Amino acid sequence: MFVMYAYVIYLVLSIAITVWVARTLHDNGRLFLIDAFHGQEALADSVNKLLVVGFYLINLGWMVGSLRTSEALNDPRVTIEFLADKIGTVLFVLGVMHFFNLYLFNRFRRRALDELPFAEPPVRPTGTLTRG
Amino acid sequence: MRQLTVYYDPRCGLCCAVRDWLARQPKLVKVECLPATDPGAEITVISDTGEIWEGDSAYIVVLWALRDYRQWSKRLASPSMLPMARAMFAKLSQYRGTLSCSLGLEPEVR
Repeated sequence: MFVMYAYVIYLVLSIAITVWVARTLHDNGRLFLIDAFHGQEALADSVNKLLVVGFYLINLGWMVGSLRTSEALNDPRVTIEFLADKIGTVLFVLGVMHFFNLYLFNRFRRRALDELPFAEPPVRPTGTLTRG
Repeated sequence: MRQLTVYYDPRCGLCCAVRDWLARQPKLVKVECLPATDPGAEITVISDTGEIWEGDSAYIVVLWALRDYRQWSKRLASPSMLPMARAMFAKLSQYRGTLSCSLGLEPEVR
């Protein structure tokens, strides 16, 4: 009898959390990407949007796909445990995806830093010219 | 560092081909190629700030100067790849004459 309530609470909470994480990622990732694309704001915004779309698809897909339960949710305790279990998994998946996105941002940015003129070659010189 | 000067072996057809290839690559650091005065010497790179790279290190520095190969140079210079990269470039240098002949690459100086 609690099944409908449980499903609705699960979906509303999971979607709200996903939207919040995606917006945080979108707003705060922008600066990283602008840096990574050497100040090309239009390109950074476009990549940012594409990353957020991927993020939404994976997370919403995951949470809709794992909605199903075989438990008979006929007392409040089982219902709360069901919700905790499902929402906990969603939070965990969001966390993994979030760190994966941070890793991507950082990789883009590190690559951009490598291309700056004052970067150092990756191997030590075998000698130096003596100036007299 | 703004410029690298690459001294290559003008008697080696492969080296001359690589020089032409270098000229076509987009660069992050200016690269000037000059024939070495001592033919038969191994490749040497000198920067405008006075650093010298010889032999297998020189190959990696030249790759680092190229926009499309900078990531590769960093990968090759990583501790796990460096010994293999050095061995590979050393072999390339050692057999450059043989390779030039078998690829039919003509040197600019006989």
